[in-house]
Amino acid sequence: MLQFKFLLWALAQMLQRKIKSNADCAHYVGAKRLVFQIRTASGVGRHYVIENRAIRSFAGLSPNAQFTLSFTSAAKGFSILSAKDAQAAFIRGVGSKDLTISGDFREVMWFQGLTAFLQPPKIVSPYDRTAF
Amino acid sequence: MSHTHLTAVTRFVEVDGDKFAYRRWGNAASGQPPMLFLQHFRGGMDNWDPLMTDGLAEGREVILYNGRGVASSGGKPRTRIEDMADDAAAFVRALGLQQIDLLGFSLGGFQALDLTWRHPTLVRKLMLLGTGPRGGNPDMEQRVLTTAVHPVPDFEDFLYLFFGRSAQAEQAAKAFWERRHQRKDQDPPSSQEAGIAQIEANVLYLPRLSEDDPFAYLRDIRHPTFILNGVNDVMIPTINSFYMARNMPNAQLFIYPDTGHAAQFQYPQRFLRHAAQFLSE
Repeated sequence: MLQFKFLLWALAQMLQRKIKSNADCAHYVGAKRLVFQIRTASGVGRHYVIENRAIRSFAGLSPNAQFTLSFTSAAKGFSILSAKDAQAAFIRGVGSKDLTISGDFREVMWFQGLTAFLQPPKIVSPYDRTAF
Repeated sequence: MSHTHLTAVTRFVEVDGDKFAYRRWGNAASGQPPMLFLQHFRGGMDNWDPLMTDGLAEGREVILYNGRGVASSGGKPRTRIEDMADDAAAFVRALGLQQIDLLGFSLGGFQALDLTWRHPTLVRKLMLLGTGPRGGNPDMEQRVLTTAVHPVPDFEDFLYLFFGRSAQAEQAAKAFWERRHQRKDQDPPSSQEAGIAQIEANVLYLPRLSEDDPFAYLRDIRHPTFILNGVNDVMIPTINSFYMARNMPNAQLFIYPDTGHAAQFQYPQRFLRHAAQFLSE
């Protein structure tokens, strides 16, 4: 539980650092205003507010969240959110129903794009090199 | 009077209490099953290329259709691909049809694949354009995330999402854009609600059915299948077309150069030649 809570807090810190240090990320955030939250089924969670090219986070849940990521447990949440293969873990979580998503899926998609800035650059294997 | 893409009347049929919009025209005397078209994300009946629909209508009847809650169809938009597929199957049965040829593009391709998998006897031949299987490679370009959801996508959006990057590709895109706006009484755009529902459906289509063998389910789809994509699809990576071709026993794969998601709109004549050959084999 503590690990999960720490990870939720650290997520905002990491995103804020990326917005400050990466011009592409700052441009991606642009004038976005978004409130979302990440929680467990039992109600433990944190909500996030993106506005003025900054992200702030607060302990607890928000009645105004535009979308919610809900994990069956803190342990599942931690393992999915901290996985090295972040996108694949997220999709596996959706498939296994350890992660359920509710709310505005346009914003979920946008958030996926934001978290992509936290991933290390993709290593292209020799077979995957193309003309594009 | 024989109708065309520009004149076919919008009709409605009731399925489970909701009115589904469709247009049907073409060569009813050909002895071929009608072809049902399933459209891309948020798209309606006027997002098809008249050159493509009229070209295919020469050899069979064609049926354009809006799923539940999409464009001019009534009802609450579906949030699962399998439900959209079942709706399309119910629509076909509501028209009294025993069998169809099925063409799906992008999100419509997801539906076409699920429809064929779930209602195999309803489909004779399957055409999958710019699409992919359940559990396929999800790596769309980041710009897609912000472009595809524009409230009113414009030409520049479609140029980026659907077409190649060369000057010739841009010319082809402009020609397509002109053709697809020729019809006077255009279908209304889909609601924001429909767009959000379809994104949800798309997300729920991404998980693998089996982690070890994600495409095993495709091996039961033995219908003659035509798979087309552009060489660089920024929305549904082109590799997904290869995954389908490798796992569907009677599939053949076409990759067109210098194009992306909508190869059939960039090369309509080439597509029609290939499609005519496939449909007549």
